[in-house]
Amino acid sequence: MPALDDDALNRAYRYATALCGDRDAAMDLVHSAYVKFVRYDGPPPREPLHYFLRMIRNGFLDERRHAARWRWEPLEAAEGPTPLHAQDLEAMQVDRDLVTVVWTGLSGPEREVLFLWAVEEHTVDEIAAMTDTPRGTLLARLHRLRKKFQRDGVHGTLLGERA
Amino acid sequence: MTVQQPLKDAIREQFDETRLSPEQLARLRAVETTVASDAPARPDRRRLFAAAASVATLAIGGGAIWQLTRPANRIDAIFDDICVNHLAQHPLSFHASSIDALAAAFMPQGFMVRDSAPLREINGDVVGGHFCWLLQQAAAEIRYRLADGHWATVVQTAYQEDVFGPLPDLAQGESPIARVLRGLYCLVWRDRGMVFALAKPA
Repeated sequence: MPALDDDALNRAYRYATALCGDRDAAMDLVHSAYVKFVRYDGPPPREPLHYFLRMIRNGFLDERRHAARWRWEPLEAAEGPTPLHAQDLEAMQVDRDLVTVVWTGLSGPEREVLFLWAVEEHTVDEIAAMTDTPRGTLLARLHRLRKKFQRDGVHGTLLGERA
Repeated sequence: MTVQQPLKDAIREQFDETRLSPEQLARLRAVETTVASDAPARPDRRRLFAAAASVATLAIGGGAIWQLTRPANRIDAIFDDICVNHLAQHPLSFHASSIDALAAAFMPQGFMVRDSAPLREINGDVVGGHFCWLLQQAAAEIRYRLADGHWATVVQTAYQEDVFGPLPDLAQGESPIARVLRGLYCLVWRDRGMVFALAKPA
């Protein structure tokens, strides 16, 4: 497999950091995934970086498979909290300093969806496809995230909230 | 005094300083060198053994399960692939405003893009296409811009019964299989030796 450039490796590192919530663990994850990536000699993937990101995600899931913090809470979609549009989050005004505090308390799935939405600028549909997560589950997760930010002292203006 | 800013900007700032140090980058670059030097002296032989082991495993353990499960799974997999292709919205390789023009663009690459009756019921215009995959078979993707501003995606490739399983054949008067999943209305059918999969917003 051809090597990834520095920019791609940095994007992968940021993604791993979002998943792990810890830079040292992220580096270990990127390193182990990159060994597999470089050794891979199958058919070339259409998008090497996306393929590498998926390897990182799979590596993370393997490590945390039995960890309590990575429970998918399958009822979240079925319980049907108020549907949320990504625009609702777009309109949210937050206290910059408190985001750092709230971020450390988020779960892996929550950090992942926020990272893919805010930093990589993917849509909810794209994130659903990338993470094999039902769209309704993601929307429910975003809904809970907004409540979490509000509860922890970050003030949502709710400009985009639906009636 | 607190500084208010959009949530998205605040999260981005969390990652502004998150980048690999020169030492970390060097460590990753070293992986490339190490893996290259670790390559087996006789890779072909090693691959041969690995392939033989894989074939034996598949023949012994996987064959029966595959036979039992694949008809339903293949249909599911086709619907899954068309949804993924639609949602991925990969950049177009060719821009064209009609099936015929697109067929001319795909032709040099060895693809024969065909029209089919259900495609003419898409209320939209062809905007282009690119190569994609359907059940791991190379395929042509055609994208339509719908009258309501949304997109429709059509994937087509040569029909192989052992790959795609039995599918409704328009030539036999059969209708496409329709499903709604991931918020998309999807159709799958075959027509004159081609398999077609369509996805558009439900």
